Amino acid sequence: MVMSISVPHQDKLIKILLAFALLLNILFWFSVRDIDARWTNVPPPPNEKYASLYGLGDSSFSYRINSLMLQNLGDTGGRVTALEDYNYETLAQWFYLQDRLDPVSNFIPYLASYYFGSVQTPEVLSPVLDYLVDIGKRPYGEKWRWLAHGVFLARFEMKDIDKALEMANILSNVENDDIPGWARHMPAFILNAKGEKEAAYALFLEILKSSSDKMHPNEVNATKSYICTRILSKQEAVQNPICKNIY
Amino acid sequence: MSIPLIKYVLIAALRDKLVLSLLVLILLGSALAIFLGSAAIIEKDQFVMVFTAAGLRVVSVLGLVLFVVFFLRRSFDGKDIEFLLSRPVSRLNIVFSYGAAFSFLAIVMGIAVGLAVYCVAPHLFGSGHVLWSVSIIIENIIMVNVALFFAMYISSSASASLVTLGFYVLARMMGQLLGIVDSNLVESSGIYSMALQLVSVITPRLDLMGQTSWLIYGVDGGIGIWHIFAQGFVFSLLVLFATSLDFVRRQF
Repeated sequence: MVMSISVPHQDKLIKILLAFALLLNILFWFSVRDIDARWTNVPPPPNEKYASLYGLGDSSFSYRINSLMLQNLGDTGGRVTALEDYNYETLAQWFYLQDRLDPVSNFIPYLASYYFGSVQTPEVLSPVLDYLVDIGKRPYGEKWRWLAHGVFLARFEMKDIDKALEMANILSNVENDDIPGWARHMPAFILNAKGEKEAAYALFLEILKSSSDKMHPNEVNATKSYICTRILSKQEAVQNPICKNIY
Repeated sequence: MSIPLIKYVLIAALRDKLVLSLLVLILLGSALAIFLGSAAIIEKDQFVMVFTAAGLRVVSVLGLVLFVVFFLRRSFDGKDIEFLLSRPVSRLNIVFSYGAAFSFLAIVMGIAVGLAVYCVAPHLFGSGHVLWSVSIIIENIIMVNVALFFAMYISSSASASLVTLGFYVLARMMGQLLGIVDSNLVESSGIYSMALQLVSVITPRLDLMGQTSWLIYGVDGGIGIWHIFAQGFVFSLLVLFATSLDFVRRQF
């Protein structure tokens, strides 16, 4: 059809059609301009059997991609999402999936405890604490630190002393020779905070009797100081032989 | 193998600026990986290293496959192959010389990628890095030979490239696919499962090679260097003989 039209007319016709196509594009732009990417909350994690497909079979690469995605989740496309709006149940599922992909890295435990742990509504933290317990009771590396941080979150953020005590007991029994005394003594600190001063005192006394030869002198002194200043009253401390050199 | 033929392919690679292009891509890929990895709140070096390694692994295979396919199809279309056949060079000699030249390029690219990964985080260097680099070299050799095979069989450059890259993705995912077959999710004796198992016999397990976890945590003892060499040897041999079979029978 176009071939039968003279060249000047063809030129004019193409210009008109081009302008028409441009107009259609502008109209289409108006119809979609206000549609932004929407936050649909934390997406469900894939099955662990297929998770490494994201990295073309390389599980470590999948782990790193997912980690960066979780770090930036909800805060992309010019949007900032409050942590309290996240679905923490689904987040914890992602954490466990990531743990299957790379159980050695500390990136996800860090993200779970320090970043997602600072949520404005700490009552949603329960699944994160369960995750930190599972990670923290591993006997290798410095994994116990995540459990210790979990105790802090339960004690001071969630104000759930029973949960904190439960976690502190797990921490004190982790089979890792590198765990320092303060972490081993965590149940006594929590008992003291709970108001069970006699139990806390008994626990600290037992620790001093059984482990003071293995503890650093500074740690022994710090433990004695804690007993005398935080557990015992001033009158009790004056009469207690442990506090002899402190008062 | 014919040394002049190997030189001919290598000169073509230089003329096509393959080496230069891939070196530029390695630099850009490393820069992008550093940018992405630096966004992580902790373990930045590990992120950078994994992103560099995983990205450059794919880039090097992509570049090599495209070069091999387009070079070979151009050789057919420009009657270069027919000219070579008119000379006192056997068909087997041509296939194995091309295979050797492409493998040499694969080794050069593998070394360049290994060096780039070393440069982004030199303090993480260890035995895992050496194993990873060797496995990437072997993977590149496998893929250039696969590209040679498909470029011989399929007359369209675009189709041959896509089929080769599809094969690469399949080989990278074979471990996962076999895992699904072995799980209780599907019937292991069904027709699809059997077909997949059959395909897996002639598919290299690239998922077992070039694992980025080696770069961070070292070698875990699962896959050794001899396993990698053995896979490269047996699969390259299979593909080169399959290529030869087609080329020897072909009528010009």
